[in-house]
Amino acid sequence: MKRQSITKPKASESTGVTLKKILVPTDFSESSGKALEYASVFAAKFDAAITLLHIAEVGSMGYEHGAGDFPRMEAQLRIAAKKQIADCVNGGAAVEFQVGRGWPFGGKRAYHEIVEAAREQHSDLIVISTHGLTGLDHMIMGSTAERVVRFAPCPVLVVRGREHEFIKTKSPRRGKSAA
Amino acid sequence: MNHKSEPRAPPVAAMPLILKHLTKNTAMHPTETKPIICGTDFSEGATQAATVADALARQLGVPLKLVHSADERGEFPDHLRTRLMNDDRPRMAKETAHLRSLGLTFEDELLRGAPDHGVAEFAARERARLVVVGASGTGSLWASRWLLGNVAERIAETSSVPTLVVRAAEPFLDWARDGRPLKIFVAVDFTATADAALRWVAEWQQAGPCEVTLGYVHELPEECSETAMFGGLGLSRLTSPGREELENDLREKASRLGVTATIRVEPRKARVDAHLILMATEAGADVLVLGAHQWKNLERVWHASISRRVLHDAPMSLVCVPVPLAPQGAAAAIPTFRRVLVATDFSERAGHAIPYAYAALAREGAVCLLHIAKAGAADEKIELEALEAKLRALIPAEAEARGVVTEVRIVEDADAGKAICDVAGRFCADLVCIGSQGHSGMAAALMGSVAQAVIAHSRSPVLFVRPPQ
Repeated sequence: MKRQSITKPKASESTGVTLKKILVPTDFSESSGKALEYASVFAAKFDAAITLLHIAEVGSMGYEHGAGDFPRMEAQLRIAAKKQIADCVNGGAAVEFQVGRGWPFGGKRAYHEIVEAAREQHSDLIVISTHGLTGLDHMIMGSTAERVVRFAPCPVLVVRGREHEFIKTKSPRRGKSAA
Repeated sequence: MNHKSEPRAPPVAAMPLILKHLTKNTAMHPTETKPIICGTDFSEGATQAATVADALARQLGVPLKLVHSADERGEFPDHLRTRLMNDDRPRMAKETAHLRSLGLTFEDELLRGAPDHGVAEFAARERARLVVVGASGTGSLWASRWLLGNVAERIAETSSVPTLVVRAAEPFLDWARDGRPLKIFVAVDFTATADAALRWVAEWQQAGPCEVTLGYVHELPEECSETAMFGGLGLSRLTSPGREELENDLREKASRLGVTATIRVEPRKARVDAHLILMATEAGADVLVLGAHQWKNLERVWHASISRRVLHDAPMSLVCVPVPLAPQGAAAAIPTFRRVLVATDFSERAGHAIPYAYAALAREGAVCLLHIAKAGAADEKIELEALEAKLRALIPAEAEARGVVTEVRIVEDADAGKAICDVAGRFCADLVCIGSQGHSGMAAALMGSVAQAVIAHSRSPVLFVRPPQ
């Protein structure tokens, strides 16, 4: 009954599941934080390393202002993103981070970059948060999480950022919060 | 006490990460010092509410604060306010003197802002344990009441603190003074709102004797009523969760949240809100407890929720429990998977999800193996048994040794995505596992409607597992 090929000593020993690398795409929102929480649970359980990935979308700004200085903009975005990633993780041991570049249109959209990163790094799991839009919102916005599920080379854990039932935390006065 | 009132998952032993946003808001008030707030508008109902609030505060050993929101319109500048507004201070002084002569002890405070906002915000600021208001206020225009509810209803709906709307004081006074059991009726379903209500009741049960009844109104699917019309062809056993199944699910949910209760499940005969009120009346309830969505502004008018109609129509006192904020504090929000649901259609890709489900599970958890049968495909009893045996064969041999309980469920539904979310809700799953095929190009664009539906509707995290490449 016992499988011999398993090397991991932890929970994986009886189930044949090993996770070594977990990829967590983040946009620094509250719901991304939740994805990171779940990822850290899996990381603790399977002794896995977490890579935080931020996709900086350069595109739309550049188009508006004519031919932008893309390399410089990108460099700035990277610096800002790295700072924010460092902010997310308080004394994190096993967290690496990476900043990718996405375009809002075409073959370089965020989901594409995420899937590519997972493929390159041979990730065993992607943990991604979703805002859980339905109906018309969903038709217009689509969902990066959904596309990642479709195209990813590995298992994907989709975490709902904010429950519909939850009280809005940040802006009790004005109706809509960012989520 | 504090820990008892908010049952939470114990922290995982070896956490490699400490997230900053988790450690931000840790300075929680201990439950003992959380005051009870009573809102008054000097009416008779408010006086009654104040006596109830006083009795509850004594019973729970917490301070009581009596407040009145002075400024209905809120926006007057200070120097004009005294000229334009009636001065409420003498009235407040008169009311507090009267209440103190009745033997009540409390602090009093005049607030600014519209009555509902003023009280709700004050309660949030004070981290109150409970807000108590009288049901019959001095009233407002009929139309605005119909559309937006009266002040008591608005407080109950918008407050981030549980709110007790008092319609009859005696049961509470008897409960607090003589120890007569309080009959509590809880309107439940399988959402986070019901969890909030049940947690509140569990806390309440510790304060004194209570007889708790859980009421669930169960929607009959259309097929069922159709077959019933033709004498019942035996489809209903599979098309909808049976009454006993629902009762069991509810009982399990209640006991997990620490509530001991009588369970009542009834098929829907009228509008859900009306039916719930009927059930509560039949159970002789002194107080009806319900969890509530916290819609704001226009959303409130748009989502005419069940809780709002119950609030409006119930003849007994009621408690409206908001869904609490996502737990905060360093040890609070570390998720553990104790109940995992895994859906399978017996295909190879679905099979890959099963080991993940068991691997993600904490020790001694529960797994629900779910198969969604196509409508009409499994109406024979023999087939049903064959399917069950087939599902049981998928349980890994090591599961039992690890102390994992596996439950097998078969549900007949044409809409697999919806059915999965539905069962996950009833099973109170912490995680849903689904096998999925990797698609590319056109196939990816067209397929995956189940995945899409599950992502959009599932309350719990969903793990999509695909075959190794």
